[in-house]
Amino acid sequence: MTFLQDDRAVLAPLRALGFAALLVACSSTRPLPPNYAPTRAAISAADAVGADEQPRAALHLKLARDQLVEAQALAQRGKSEEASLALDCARTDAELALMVAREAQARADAARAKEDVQRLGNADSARSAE
Amino acid sequence: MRTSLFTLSLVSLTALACASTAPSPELLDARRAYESARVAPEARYTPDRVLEAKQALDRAEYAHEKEPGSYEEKSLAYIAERRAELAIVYGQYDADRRMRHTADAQYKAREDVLRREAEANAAETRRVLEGTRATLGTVQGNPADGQQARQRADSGNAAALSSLNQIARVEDDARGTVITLDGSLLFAANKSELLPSARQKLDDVAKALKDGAENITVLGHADSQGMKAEANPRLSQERADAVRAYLVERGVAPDRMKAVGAGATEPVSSKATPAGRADGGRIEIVVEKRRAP
Repeated sequence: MTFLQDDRAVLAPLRALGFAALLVACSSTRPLPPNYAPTRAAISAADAVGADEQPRAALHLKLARDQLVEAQALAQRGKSEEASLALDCARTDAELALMVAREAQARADAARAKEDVQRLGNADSARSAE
Repeated sequence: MRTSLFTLSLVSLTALACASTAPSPELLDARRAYESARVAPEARYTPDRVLEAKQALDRAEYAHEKEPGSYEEKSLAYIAERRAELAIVYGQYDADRRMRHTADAQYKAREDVLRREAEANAAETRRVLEGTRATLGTVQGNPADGQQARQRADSGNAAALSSLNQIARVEDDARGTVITLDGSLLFAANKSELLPSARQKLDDVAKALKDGAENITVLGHADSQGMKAEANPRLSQERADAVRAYLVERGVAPDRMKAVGAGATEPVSSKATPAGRADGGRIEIVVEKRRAP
C-alpha cells in the first residue's frame, strides 16, 4: 500500500510539472507521458528496499528499468500511448520487485522470531531438568 | 492460376483472421496466472488484490476483443499477469507479518513466565537465607582475646542481658549489672540442689554471660523464714555454689566467677510481708563494671 500512497503523493505536483514540460518542450524533444515520474519513483522505491539483492525481485527490477528505457524511446518517436503503456508495465514490475523483496524480509523476520521463541522454550525446559 | 491465387488469398485471409483472434501468449499467461492467484491459499486473505488482478485481466481481455494482438492487449496482459503474481505475494507478506506478531507475543508471554519464576525462586532463596541467619544468630562463638573482640562481646552482652528481663530482673547499681533470680524458682525450700526447671533459666543467663570477660559474683541469699539463723549462711553459700557450678557447666569461664553466700543479713526489703520474705531467697549474679584497661 505504500507504493500506491507514493503514487498519489508524487502524482499531483508532477502532473503539473509534466504539463509545464509539455508547454516548454513541445518544439524540441517529445514530452514524456504523465506516468513517467511515478514510474521512476516506483523503481527507486524497489531499489531502496534492496530488491536487487533478491533474485526474483532483481529480475523484475531489471524488467522495470528496461521498459522505462523503451518507454522513453517510444515517447521520442511520438508514440505517446504506447509509451504510457510501457510505463505502466514498468511500474507494475517495480511494484512486484518491491513486494517480493519485502516479503523475503518479512519471512526472515518471522523465522527469526519463531527461533527466539524456541530458544526460550529450550532454556526453560533445560532449567527445569536441572 | 487465378483460382490458386484466389484460394491462396482466401486461405491467407482465413489464417490471418484465425491468427488475429487467437489470444496472444501474453494473454494466455495472464489467464493462467489469474487462475493460480484465484485458488492460491496465500491469496485467501487478500481478496482485494485478487480483485485487482481480475480487473487487470478484464482490461486485457477487452483490449484483445477490440484489437487482437495489439500492443495494448499485450501490455495489459503483461500487467495482468504481474497483478496476479502480486496478489499471491501480498498474501504471503500478510501471513509472514501475522506469524511474526504471534511469535513476538509468545516470546513476551514466555519471558514474563520465566521472569516470574526467577523472582519466586529468588524470594524463596532469600527466605531460606533469612531462616538460616536467624538460626545462626542465637549461637555465639567464644571471642578471641583482644580489644575488638571485647567490644563486640560487650555490645553482645548488653543485648543478651536485656533479653534476660523476661526471666529475671536486670538492673544496674553501684556494683555493676545485677541479675536477680527468685530463689524459689531455682531451688526447693531449704535445698541447694537446682530444680530441673531452673536449668533453662540459668541456660539463658549463661548464654548472656559467657562471651564477656567481666568478673562475676554469684551471690546467694537464703530465705530468712523457717530456717535457723545459723543455717542460712551455709545454705546461701551452697546455693551460690550450685548456681556457679551450673554456669561453668554451661560455658561461663570459671576463673571469672566467685560464689558468695550472703546469708540472711542483707534482705532487700522488709520481711514483714510474704513478698518480702520471698525476696530474701534470691540469687544475685553481679556482673562487675569493666575497669578501663
